[in-house]
Amino acid sequence: MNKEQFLKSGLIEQFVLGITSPEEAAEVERYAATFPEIQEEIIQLREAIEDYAKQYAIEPPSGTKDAILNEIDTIQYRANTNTSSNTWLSWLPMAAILASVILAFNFYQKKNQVEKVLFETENQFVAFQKECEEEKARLQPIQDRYAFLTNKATQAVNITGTGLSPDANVVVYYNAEEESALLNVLNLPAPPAGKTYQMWADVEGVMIDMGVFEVNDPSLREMVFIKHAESLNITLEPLGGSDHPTVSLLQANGKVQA
Amino acid sequence: MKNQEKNIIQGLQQQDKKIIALLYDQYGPTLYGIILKIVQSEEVAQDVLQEVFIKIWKNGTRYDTKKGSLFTWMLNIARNTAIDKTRSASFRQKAKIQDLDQTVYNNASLTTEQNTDVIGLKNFVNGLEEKYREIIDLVYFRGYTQKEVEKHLNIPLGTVKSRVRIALRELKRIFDEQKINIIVLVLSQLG
Repeated sequence: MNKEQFLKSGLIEQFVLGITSPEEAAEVERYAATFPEIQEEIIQLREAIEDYAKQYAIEPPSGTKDAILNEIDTIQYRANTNTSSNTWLSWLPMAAILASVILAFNFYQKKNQVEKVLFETENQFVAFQKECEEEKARLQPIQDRYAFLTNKATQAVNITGTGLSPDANVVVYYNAEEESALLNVLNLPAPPAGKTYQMWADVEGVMIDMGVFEVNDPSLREMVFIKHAESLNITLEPLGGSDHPTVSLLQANGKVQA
Repeated sequence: MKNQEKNIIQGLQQQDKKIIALLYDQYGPTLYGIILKIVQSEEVAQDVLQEVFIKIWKNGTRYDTKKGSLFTWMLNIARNTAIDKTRSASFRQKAKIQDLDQTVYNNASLTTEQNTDVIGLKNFVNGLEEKYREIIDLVYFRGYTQKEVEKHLNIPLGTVKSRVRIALRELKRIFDEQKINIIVLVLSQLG
């Protein structure tokens, strides 16, 4: 359509009355933008229709204007109070998140503390366990010894001094079932220089070596166990001990119960 | 005029209460007259007018100069609000009590008489033939589509369209003549 055709099309009039479709309105706007005469025509037609409309003007009841302006005030006031409460509400999620973070951090710290305590406790436990094992290991031989000494099969053989050593007093705990002999020196003078005490078991008249021993050792000592000993004898022998006892130097002896 | 409209539009977009007061002074009576034509009750028309200006204030940010003149925009709001009102249940209840046709007639004649006298442009409205006045009334003041006018008046769509066109041309002609008459009148008074 050229400009003249468009002016006669009736679209401009419909546009001014506001009854064009959006597509038609866009077309009118395009023409108006291109042709100043069409723009001018639109303005004049609008003025005409507005003036025509004014013929119907009637003064509204008094108070209408005030009522409108008051209502605007009310709406604005309400909107403002709403906005402020909205701002308040919009803070809620933020506050909730903040609280959660603080709480989570708190829990995290507590968890760390508890873990530390647990770790320390575990270490202590391991240490105690080790100590306990050691203690048990230490105690075991003592208990074994005690059990041995209180065993009915164990007899305490008192070895008492001969004329050569009247104050000698030695006990040997002799157990034939367990085949074990323990020496406890109660009183025995220190051996002369170059000599050592040696113990012998008398089996059917034959002296069998049970080993040499020191005097100043207060603990119980294992001696070599000899079966069917009838008596236990102590002689003084050269250092290192002898294969056969020097009977002339018999210091002490004691009988073993059969 | 251009500057004033710019200020008004700016004020509307900022929801300036003063602009609403200004628009009320300038267009309130016209919108009220048109609302009254539709709702036929001063009491209802006052409510509608109040509602319309609140809508203008609230929706001012949505007004787009490209979509039409400020007046046409406000008129559309007034027209739609008034038509919605006539469709409401409470309105229909009232309409039953009143003799609607009677009031339509009374109000229409009253409106035309009163205001043309005040403004002194009696010839303006009278100069427009009844069939064109009818078209403008239906399309512009009552929001009929051209198809609805076709059904309502039982005339072909083509005739509706040409009458719309001629009606506006006529309005423009009368409007121009009126301006010339005023100028002539003023000049003769001076002379």
